[in-house]
Amino acid sequence: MTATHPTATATATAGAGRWTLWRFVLRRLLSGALVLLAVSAIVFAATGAAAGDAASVSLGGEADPAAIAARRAELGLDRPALVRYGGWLLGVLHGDLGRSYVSGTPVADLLCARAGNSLVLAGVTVALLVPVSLGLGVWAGLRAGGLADRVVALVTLSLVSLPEFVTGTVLVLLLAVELDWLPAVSVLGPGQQLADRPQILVLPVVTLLVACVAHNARLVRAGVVAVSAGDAVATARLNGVPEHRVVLRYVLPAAIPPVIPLLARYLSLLVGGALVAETLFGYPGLASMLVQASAGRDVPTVQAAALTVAAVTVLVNLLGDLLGVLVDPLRRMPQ
Amino acid sequence: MTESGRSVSRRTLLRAAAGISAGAAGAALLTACGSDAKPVTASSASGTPRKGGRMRAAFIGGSNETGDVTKAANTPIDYVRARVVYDELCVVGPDGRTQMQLAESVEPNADGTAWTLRVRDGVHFTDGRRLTAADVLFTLRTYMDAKANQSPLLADIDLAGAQRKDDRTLLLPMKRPNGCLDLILTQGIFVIPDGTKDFTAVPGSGPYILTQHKVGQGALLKRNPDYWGPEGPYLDELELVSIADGTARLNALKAGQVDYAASISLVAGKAERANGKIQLITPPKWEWPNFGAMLKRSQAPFTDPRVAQALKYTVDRQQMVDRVTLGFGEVANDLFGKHLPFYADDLPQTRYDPDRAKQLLAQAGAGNLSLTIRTSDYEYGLTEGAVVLAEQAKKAGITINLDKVPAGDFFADPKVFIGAKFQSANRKPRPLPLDVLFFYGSDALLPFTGLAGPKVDDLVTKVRSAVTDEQRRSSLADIQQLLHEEGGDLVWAKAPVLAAASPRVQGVKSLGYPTFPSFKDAYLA
Repeated sequence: MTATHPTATATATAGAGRWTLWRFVLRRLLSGALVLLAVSAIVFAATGAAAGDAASVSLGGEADPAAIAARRAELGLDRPALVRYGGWLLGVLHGDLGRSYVSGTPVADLLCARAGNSLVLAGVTVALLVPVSLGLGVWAGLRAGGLADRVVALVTLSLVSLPEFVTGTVLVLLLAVELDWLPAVSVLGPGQQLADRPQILVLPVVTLLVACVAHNARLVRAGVVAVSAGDAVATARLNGVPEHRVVLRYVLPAAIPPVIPLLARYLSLLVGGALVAETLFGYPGLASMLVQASAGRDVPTVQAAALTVAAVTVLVNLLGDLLGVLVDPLRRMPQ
Repeated sequence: MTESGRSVSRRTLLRAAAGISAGAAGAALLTACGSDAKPVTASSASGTPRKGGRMRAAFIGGSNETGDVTKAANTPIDYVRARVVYDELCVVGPDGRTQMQLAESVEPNADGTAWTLRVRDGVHFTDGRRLTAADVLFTLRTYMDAKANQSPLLADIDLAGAQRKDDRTLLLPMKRPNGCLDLILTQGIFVIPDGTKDFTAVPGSGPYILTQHKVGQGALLKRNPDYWGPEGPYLDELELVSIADGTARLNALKAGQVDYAASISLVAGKAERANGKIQLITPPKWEWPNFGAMLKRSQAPFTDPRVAQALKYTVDRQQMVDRVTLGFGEVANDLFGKHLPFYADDLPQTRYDPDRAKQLLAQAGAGNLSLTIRTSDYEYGLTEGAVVLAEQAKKAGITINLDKVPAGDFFADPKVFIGAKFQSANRKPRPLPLDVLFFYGSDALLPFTGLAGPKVDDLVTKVRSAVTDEQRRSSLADIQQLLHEEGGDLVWAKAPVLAAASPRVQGVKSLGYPTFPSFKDAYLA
């Protein structure tokens, strides 16, 4: 299975391929920008349609209507919706995300800390998800129908069918409350950074991992089963190629590509959608910020969080597709 | 838009299931440490306070926290921080009576048209400035201008006409007779130095000094060595940790990450009652929120007082205590202010009497009454109470449907919230005269029950202008009698806001606000 293209053809193909690739990336980035614009418009419309606004919500249920009106004027909420959206958009294009309607803090400050935390949580989870799901999937796939395969299927499927709050709660009670090995809540002191207390990542990461691993491992397993049944593997085995080489050369390369888009999806999902884990462990991430900001009708903060999640989704999917092309030589060929 | 007729929502069920699973798992894992059930402790300190140490306390916070002292009501953690960095002029003590803090005295003239406020001597802000009457005047003006929640309470003060009699004495004329200023000053007004421009970095006079604060994470405070108070502060450091979720706060306490976990649900409280490793802290009874519902007396069918009364007879209050407050609460009597000074204890307890309710409805020509109650999961007890009420009302031939709105929408639109004809309520207690001014009469800020008219206005005016204890007693007795007979408040139970803490935590006092107590006298035993 070595590349046997004549040299000249290969160079031409590579050149054309690179050009196509750049055009593809550029097109995707442009459409990504349009997606972000659409997201911001939808978010703006949706927050506008919700009951009340930042002024009435932040002052609470027993506020003076005059105080609400004054706060509304202070925040500029008495201006027409289009003017507010336009003003916000202009600010964003100049790199100014505005200030939180509720706390008055610059949104960029709020966002940086939270987005960083979320990226770390999602990144670590996916970084562990890859070897764990590959290992389990290959191990089970090579023993398809056997006891190991059935045990892996049973365990991963049972785990994935448990809601995250159940796995998380059990993990907390066991590992934090009873055994005192890990912190029960993933909170940082006022002067601390994530790097000062990396152990706070363990329980949220494990909880998220448990929720994602089954799907991935089963996809890998399916790939492995399909490849193992193919001629290439059979021929290699008949030729006496050692089993570990069979797995590394033939099985893995075929099993990985279908998993990449899924991993990309998980990564973007985990950046903004780890709400249960963030709530359960008090982890200061984007999802809880988005929920709190929505509840407070804090439009600039909601926008910033939603756009970050959308941007990460666009970028990660693009990256996933590029990675897919890189690991799958067939897709590098001009169509 | 409604979820009419559905008596139990999916969310309630899920939440209950989560509580049960967490509780069951907890019980299974904690069999070793939980011995016999011990009584819930009160919030007062016992023994001699010990100096030193760092106390870590977890409160609800989040990305909407603010350092702006005039907006401290944003989240509980903001308020708790403000309560130790700054001082209030007055606070409400455990007995429901006003205690002086930075004020040495707050005295009205004979008809409540002017007040004389004298501040304590020898109080300094952390920047070294001495507290004077000018700081108090500046503070009142700031809160008034900030259009904060406190501003409607301050509206009767003629701030432009205020005079400084001397360095420590302020004369405050009133725009109309108002005998409630001593009570108003207990409502979260933090004294800041005259001339403050940046409200996020203000020197305070309180027992602790803020050294670090990060929004959504927490704050670190150190002892103020020059604190003026006779008691405290005892801790070297106080760390406030921001944890939004109640279960997470409790878990942090159980794992030893924090020493104090604020606002623990009644469900969790019940599960942890037998846990000898933590103490449950209950505030004084007057501070317990009032669970119930509000009827708009100015809208049909509640314009007929017999319909409103019939609803009061349909509530089995003991069942509410058992099922909604999970046994933690106590029966209420359709009035606010139980256990506060001047509460009308002598009024007859409304009893559960579905037959009487049916009779009244028949007399009013409102047989087969069908109502819709606006409710939400915004706070525990709203939906839960409405569900039980709907069941109980069937016995009186009344159909009650639930209009369950999303938690975030419950009070988001003031027009809808204040205008609702029939809705769930969970009212936090405050000194009785202030409740009267807030909710009744044609001047009311929040006329939830729509009770108005010359008679009501007259009674409200008497409550507002009462300056002596005797005037307060008689004016409050009159209006409470009217509210009990004709009012639109259905108050069926009071139940505590629970907190959980390590047994070492002592001296945390709610002083009027159990969700954001004062750590001024807190210590680690």
